[in-house]
Amino acid sequence: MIEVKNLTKIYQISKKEQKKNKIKKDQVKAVENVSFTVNPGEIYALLGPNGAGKTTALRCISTLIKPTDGEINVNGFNDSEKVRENISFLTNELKLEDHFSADFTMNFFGGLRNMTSEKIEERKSYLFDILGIKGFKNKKIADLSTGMKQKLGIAVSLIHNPDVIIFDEPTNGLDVLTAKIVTDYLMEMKRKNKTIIISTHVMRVAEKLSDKIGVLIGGHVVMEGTLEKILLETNTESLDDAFFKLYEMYGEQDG
Amino acid sequence: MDKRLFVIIKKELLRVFTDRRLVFTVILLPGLSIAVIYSIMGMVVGNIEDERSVHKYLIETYNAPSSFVEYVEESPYDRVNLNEVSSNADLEGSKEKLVDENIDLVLVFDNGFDQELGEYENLNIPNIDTYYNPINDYSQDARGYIVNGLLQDYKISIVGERLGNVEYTNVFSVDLENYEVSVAPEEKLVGTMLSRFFPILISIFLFAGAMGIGMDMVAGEKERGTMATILLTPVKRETIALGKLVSLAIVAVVTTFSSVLGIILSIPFSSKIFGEAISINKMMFTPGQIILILITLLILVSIYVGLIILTSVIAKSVKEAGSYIAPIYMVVLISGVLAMLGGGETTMVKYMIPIYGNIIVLQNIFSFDMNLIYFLVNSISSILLTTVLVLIIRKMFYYEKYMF
Ligand SMILES: Nc1ncnc2c1ncn2[C@@H]1O[C@H](COP(=O)(O)OP(=O)(O)OP(=O)(O)O)[C@@H](O)[C@H]1O
Ligand SMILES: [Mg+2]
Repeated sequence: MIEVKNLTKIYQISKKEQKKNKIKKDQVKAVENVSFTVNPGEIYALLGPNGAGKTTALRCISTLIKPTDGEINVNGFNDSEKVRENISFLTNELKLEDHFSADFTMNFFGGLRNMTSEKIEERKSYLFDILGIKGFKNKKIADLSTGMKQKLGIAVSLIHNPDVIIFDEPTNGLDVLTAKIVTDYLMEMKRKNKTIIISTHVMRVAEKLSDKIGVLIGGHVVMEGTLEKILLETNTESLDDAFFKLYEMYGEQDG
Repeated sequence: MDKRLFVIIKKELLRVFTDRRLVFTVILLPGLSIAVIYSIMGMVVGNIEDERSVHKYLIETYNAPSSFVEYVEESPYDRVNLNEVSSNADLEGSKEKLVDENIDLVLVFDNGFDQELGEYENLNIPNIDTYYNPINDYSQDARGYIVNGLLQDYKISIVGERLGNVEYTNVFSVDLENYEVSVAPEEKLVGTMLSRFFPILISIFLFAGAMGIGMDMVAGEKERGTMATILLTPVKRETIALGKLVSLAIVAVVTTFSSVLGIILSIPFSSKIFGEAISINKMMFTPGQIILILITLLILVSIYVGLIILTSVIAKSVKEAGSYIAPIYMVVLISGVLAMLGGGETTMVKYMIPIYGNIIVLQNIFSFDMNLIYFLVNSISSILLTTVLVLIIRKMFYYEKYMF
């Protein structure tokens, strides 16, 4: 279970970065006053355009960064270490060391999660099997393709079989076959009563996977609910149309 | 203790020691290049010295008396090549030859030298003028060889003739059967040579060896995004920080070991640079001294590792870390140079200065001249510094601004 209450995140921008990126502002309000709840057995999709604050919200939930304001509870915990024990977080800025093999990497992260070597072996063989990693498990990560790396990233994040899964754009950059492996796996996890939140800007992924959609525009959740509810409230026939309509209403303000 | 600390250390060490490029550049290269450079330097120095010890001196003489020429021919001074110049007008020419290093020495005997020798009862003392070129090593050697050696013996032979028996010139002997003239303990002599070079070299090897890997360990991992993945595990941040510190210390010790091994391997060829003094079997340290050396080295390693990791934490990229570390490396080099130059009074304050003080302590132990109070002062100030560094690093590992 994930509970987010009035989450606000303001990034402070140092003088150096201001100069480097030629911006005048010394802070960026990435998300503001965002609240939502994700229950076990549910897939929640944060849908929003580039820069809407999806990644920021997920970073806060997964304790990678601290919220400026608001409260987040994951399985009832808000202590960083406890939260980390309970979650899997996948986002493209989390990388694995090129020098090592998939196999070693799994052992390493299993070790960091205090798992016994038997438990690690068990999870490894299950995840390698289901995600199709066996064939390249002894190759150096440097020699893997983007898709292979993404699959391994998913396996690493799930080594400890957590109850909460937080995936930021899980199918980004994947071909249809690999994307299907990932979405199938998420459906499987949903059946196993895991709490799942994903972010995406691809309507089809949100439509197909999610039980609930939160439309995030300009750092605000402008609408939330099941697909049917969103279509009804926006008086549209497809999520695409609903999204454009919402963007017209709320997107411009933040220009 | 958290056993995940060892998971981190194991990973860091595997990262370094299973990477062929790193094993070569960090471990083999320092030792190898030192062995090669010192061997070559040693051989060059050795050749020069050997050449100097057999060189035949070219000497131009003026009015050389026949008694002198005969004496030289019969004497054991066989490294002399005399060449009599016929007229006094050539002295300027001879001096030019000295300057041009074509000859090594000029001897100008008084006119009628032999005759005046014969009339010694009139107290007519004949003279020999010498000219040499101190810039030319051979010329300098030649003057010593002739003035302090050959001419002295020549003088004695003349006195012997006057007394009727050369043996009468032996008035008394000094140290004829005394084989222990020098009472300085042998290890103390060894110490003076070793103490000058070794601590400085070790200090520089330690820092240089740890620098590259240390920048990569934190700044590099942040830059590549692999640090964030580790930060997302429930491992305590201080455990991660400590894992990095310990791993880097181990790597630093290994590279230093390689460098020291390089020096040792080069000894057969390089002993001429260090003087005869440096030979392993003469390094007779007591267990106590070895413990002091190890403690001091460990402390020095901690300071260096702390400084390197701290810059690595502050920096966002390896490149940035490099620019922060450069001035620190300068401090390490300058501390070494200052310590080598030595001098100044032995004061407590010297020992309180980290890095410089540690090098001085090592020098003192190597020269068997360690004051335990100074050792303690140095250790305490260094440990204080290390503690502060570690606390800062630990704190920074929790800051989003630095770590992500
Ligand atoms: N580390 C950071 N420092 C400063 N500003 C940031 C940082 N990360 C993100 N931002 C800013 O915060 C806002 C939200 O970014 P975020 O990455 O959360 O969006 P997103 O919805 O994930 O976008 P995308 O679909 O492109 O991934 C953007 O304006 C972005 O420029
Ligand atoms: Mg994003």
